[in-house]
Formats: sequence, C-alpha cells, structure tokens
Amino acid sequence: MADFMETSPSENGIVAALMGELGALLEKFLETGVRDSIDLHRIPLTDQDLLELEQQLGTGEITISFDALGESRITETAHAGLWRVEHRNPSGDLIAHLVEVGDVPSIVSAGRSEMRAAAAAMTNDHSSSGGPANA
Amino acid sequence: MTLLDLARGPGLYWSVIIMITGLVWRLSTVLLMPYRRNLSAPGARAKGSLRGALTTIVTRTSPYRSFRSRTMPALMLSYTFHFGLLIILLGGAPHILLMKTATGLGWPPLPKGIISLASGLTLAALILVAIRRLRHPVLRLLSNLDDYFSLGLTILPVLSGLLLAEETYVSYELLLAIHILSVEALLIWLPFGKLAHVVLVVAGRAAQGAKFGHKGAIT
Amino acid sequence: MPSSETLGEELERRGISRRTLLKFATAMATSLALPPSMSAAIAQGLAKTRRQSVIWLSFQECTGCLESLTRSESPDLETLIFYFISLDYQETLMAAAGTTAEDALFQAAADNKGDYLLVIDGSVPVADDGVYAMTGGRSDFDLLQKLSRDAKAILAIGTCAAYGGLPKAAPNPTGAVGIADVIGDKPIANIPGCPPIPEVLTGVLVNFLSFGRLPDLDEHGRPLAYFGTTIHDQCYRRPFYDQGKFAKSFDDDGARQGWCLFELGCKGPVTHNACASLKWGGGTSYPIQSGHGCLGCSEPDFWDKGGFYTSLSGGDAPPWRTAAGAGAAGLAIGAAAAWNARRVRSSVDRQVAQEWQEKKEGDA
Repeated sequence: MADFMETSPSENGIVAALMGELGALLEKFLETGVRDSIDLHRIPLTDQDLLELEQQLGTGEITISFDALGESRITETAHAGLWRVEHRNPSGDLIAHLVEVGDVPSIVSAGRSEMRAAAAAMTNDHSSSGGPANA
Repeated sequence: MTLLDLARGPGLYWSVIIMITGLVWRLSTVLLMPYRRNLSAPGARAKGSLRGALTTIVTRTSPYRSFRSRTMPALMLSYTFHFGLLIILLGGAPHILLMKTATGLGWPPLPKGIISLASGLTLAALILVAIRRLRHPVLRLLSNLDDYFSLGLTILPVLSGLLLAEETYVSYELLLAIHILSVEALLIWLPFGKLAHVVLVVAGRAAQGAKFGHKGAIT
Repeated sequence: MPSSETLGEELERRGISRRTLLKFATAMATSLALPPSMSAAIAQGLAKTRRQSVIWLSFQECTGCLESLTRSESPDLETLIFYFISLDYQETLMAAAGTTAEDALFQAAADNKGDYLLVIDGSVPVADDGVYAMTGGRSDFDLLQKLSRDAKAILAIGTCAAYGGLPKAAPNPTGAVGIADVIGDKPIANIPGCPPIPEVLTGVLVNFLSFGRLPDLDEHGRPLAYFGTTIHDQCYRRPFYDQGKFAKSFDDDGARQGWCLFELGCKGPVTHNACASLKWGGGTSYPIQSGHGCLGCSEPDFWDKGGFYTSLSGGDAPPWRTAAGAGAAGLAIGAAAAWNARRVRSSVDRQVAQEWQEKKEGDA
C-alpha cells in the first residue's frame, strides 16, 4: 500500500483539470450564488487519480453523516466551499460520489415547506394549552 | 440480415466461389484453346520460343529504353498503386487476419502508420490514373466500360478502407460493410474484365515472347 | 389498488425524509448520466408522481434479466419496490401462485387501466398459434395482446424481448419474435443485452418515474443514454487497438498485457451498450476487462452473426472442398469452351480443305 504522502502525480493531468474546474465553479458561486457539483462517477478516474484528488482536496473541519436508506457522508475539504459527498445504499455500495461547491451542501439545508410545517406545529403547540398539536 | 451480415456471410462465400470459378475458367481456356502451330522457319538469330517466352515475362516489367521517357509518368503511377496495394494487402493487420481465418497462415503485420501512408499514396495514384484516362485524347477514345469499371472497383476498397481505419464520418459498422462489399464486388468482377491480368499477365507476356523469340525479335 | 396520494405524500407519511428522496435522485442523476444539477428536478418529478403500477410478464425467457435487475446497486430493487413502484405481478418474485396470481394480474390491469407500465422479458413465439409458450392455459401471444391494450408504455427487457434473442436464433423452430414485432400501437422501449446491465434497467425505470415518459430512443428503440455509443468507443483497451497491439490467443503474452481482443472475435466496434463505461457488478468489470471479447449481445440477431471467435475481419469463406469444387466447375466450363472452339476450328479446317480440294479439281 503506497504511503499516502508519497503518491506521485499521475501522468494524465486529470486531477489538475478537475481542481481547475472546481476553482471556476467556486468563482461562479461567489458571483451568482448558484451551487454546482462535479460527479466523480462520470469521470474516468483511476485509483491513483482518486487518491491524488483526495490528497489535493484535503480535509476541513466539518463532517456530516446521516442515514437516508443507507449511510451518507459529507466531508468539508481543506478548500472553503468545496465539500466531498459520498452516498451509499443500504448494502454499503457507493452509489454517488461528488464534489459539491457552495456555502453549504444543498442536501443539508432544511426544506422550506418542512420548516413551515414545523413552525405551524410549534405555533399551535403554543396557542393550544398543551393539547394535541394540529399538523 | 444487416449489410454487415451480408458482407461477412453469403457475400464472402459467393464472391470467393465466383472468383475461383471465373479465374480457373479463364486460365483453362488460355491453356486449352486451339492454336495454330507456327510452321515458319525460325529467324536468323532466334533463340527459340521457350527462351523468348521466359525472357519476355521478366523484361516487360520495364519499358523498352526508347519508350521509357515518354511512358515514365504513367509507369510511376502504375507501380505506385500496384506496390501500394501489395503493401496494404500483405502488410495490413486485418487482411492478414482474414488470411489466417481462411487458411491458417499468418505473419506479422506492418505498423499502421506505414499502411496509412501506402493507402494514401495508392489512392492518390489511382485517382491520377483515372484523371489521366479521362483527359488523354487517345485513352479516351480507347477506353470502354471495362476500363472505368475496373478502375472504380479498385478505388472503392482503398477509399473505404482508409475511412474505416480512421473511423470517421460514418459508423464503423456501415464503413466495414461497405469496405467488405466493395472488395467482394472486385472479386466477382475480377475474372471477367481486364483485372484478370492478375493471373493472365504471365501468360500474355509468355505468348508474345514465344512468338517473337521464334522470329528472333526479342527486345 | 391505485393510490390517490403522490409519492411525495406517501414517502412523507412513511417517514422517508425529503433528504432521502434527494439522495436517491442524486444517485439517479449519476446513473442516468445527467448533470448533478438535475437531481433536484428528478426529486421534484418523483415527489409529484403517483406510485407507479408495474406489471411484469415473462415469456420465452431464462430469467437472467430478472436476475440482473436484482443485482442493481443504485437504486436497488428493494428500494424501488418498497417506495417507488407497485410491482403488481411478477411470477418469480410474487408470493401468490396459480389462479390467485392470475386474478392479481387481471385485477391490477383493470385497476390501473391506462396507467400501468408493462415490463416484459423473453420473446414471444408466434408459430402454431403461439402454443410454444403458454401461461395458465393462455398463449403468451394472447396475453401480450390483452395486457398491452391498456398499458401506458411497454419496456421490452433483454435481447429476447427486444429482438427475439436466443429463441429466435436459426432455425427458430417456435417462430420467436421481439415484442415490438407484435405490438405496434404502444410506446415501446427496448433495453437489450443478454442480460442488460442492472443499472440500465433500473435507470430506465426511474427515468419513467421521474419524467413520466420513455427516454429518447435510437433507431432500434434503445435509450440513447445507455446505447448511444459503441463498446469500442468507450473501451479502455482502445489505445492498443489504435497501436495495432492485438492478443492472438487467450492467455498469450499480449492477452496478459491487456491488449485489444479484436482478433479473438470482439464485436465491440459494432455493439451499442454501456458495458465499457457503466460496467457490471456496480462498476467492477466487463467482459473485455476480464479478457473475453464482446459478444455483441445487445444487437439484434447476435447469435446468428457467425462465430463469437471469428473476428469482424473474418467471415464465412467457403471451405477448401467447396473452393476446389468451384475450381472444378471453372475447369469444366473452360474445357467445354475449348472443346467447342476446337470443334468449330476442325469444321472450319474441314471446310477450307474441301474448298481447296474442289478448286484443285476445278483447275485440273
């Protein structure tokens, strides 16, 4: 198993190209506020490429994991605004692998309709004196 | 049945059979047809018809020296595409593979770049030959359907083979089908037109050489 | 029983979060080769749709296509069945049998009239009134006619259902044909392959669920998203093809170095499928990567295109005996022509000699 720190850069330059594209997406987000992502499953990456990409992305402060019909894990990279997203199915197979660009990964934000429903439930709780809440 | 199935299946089967039948037919008539014996006395310095025949087979490869300068351009074009075809057919990997599948005999191929170069030169030479035949006043007078058809049937496989090797413009499957079918058309026509010279050239030169060798007029 | 609530409402009721749906949609965008930004649209489409009734009929099949479907990793079949589709009839998976199963079939078709997705694997035999494939006393041909009438769309799964497949191979004693050869008035998508790639099957299903219609199809009725390119165009061994490095026999030096398998009969250049990009086993490998040439199993009539090990450059050349026979025939024709010529020559000689004789006698 190659020493993680000593992986030599692969010859095809694909990781450099990906980092360039991610940088461009980051700039686009800063300008327009539109979150975007790169699907790593759609790009022909060798195992070495993947290792090199992970090295270059690095690790940040935040790790988010949740269970949604299988484990999902989001890791902040060392670059602010770049997030590694890994979705797995109940059997543990990796079904989606992306690098997302934005202030926060889209799947993490709570949905507005759910928040409205929660707010309504909480207001009802307040107003009715301890009785069963109406949805 | 797709075009490619036709080309690789009954097309290949019947074109080979027709070609073999036709070629053997023509060769056997050359050998079996009646001929009048030459009852004249041999010429003064005649070396005999057998020597004449054998010599002429070789010497006709290059024109008589007094004609050389006039015929050199046409000669160069002709040798270019003849040798080009030889290189493509004997050196191209897919053609060797075809021979191996059919006869069990295989040999190492030439690099793809060399075959591409040879194909390009061959195609250019064939097209120039066609242009010459269409523009030269005497050739235009002499040329008939056989000449143009044979030329066309030779150009088509080279052109389709080049496009197939570069995998461009049209789908691989269609290009392969066209290439194989064009070769099969060539095979079918081969025994019946001037293309039969592939086997008859030796007989033709030998017959001329025998006649002149008897007369003592070998050049 | 057709549901009046949308999938979104049902999932919410069952405690499946919006995030779960979004995650599912993200995986689907990957599988469908759509840009990741489409996942929101897919999630929305799924939330707004109703639980899709799916009726699965199996005709002349080997069940390999169903086996393949069960191997799908994303989405897996369980997730599909539990949350997104109502698999109302499938002979291998359903618990019911006999007349109970038959009743379930016709009940589901009646309840979902005009709305159910008819999924079929296996070809349908038409010879001898369709007697070669019968289910519960009915010929599959009749079953197909009956059940396609009220279907919203048809998925012909596997090369057998799409084009006739193995049962149709020469001499085709049962008169097997593909579904599209029988049904002409319903939208049909062919998902060929022997079997098709698991994720292609589920991908087309989810596409139908998300967008309410069949995906864009090529001239053979195959989804362009998966069958738009040839194996050859996506194959990782393509550089070896371009360089002329071919394996000459299985497990020789070239084969061990992963050289191109063209000379060993690979039909990659003329086969459209996603094997070289999506691969099998959740992206593990595909036949060429494992050292065997492509069989061309997603193309019509692939069983009848000459040998699997005859290269595309080879074909059905006549055997030596036949070639010798052709030569003999040529010799016979040539000899006959020569014999005729000699006969004519002799008669001309005789005539000339006779005239000469007469002239001599005339002069004398």
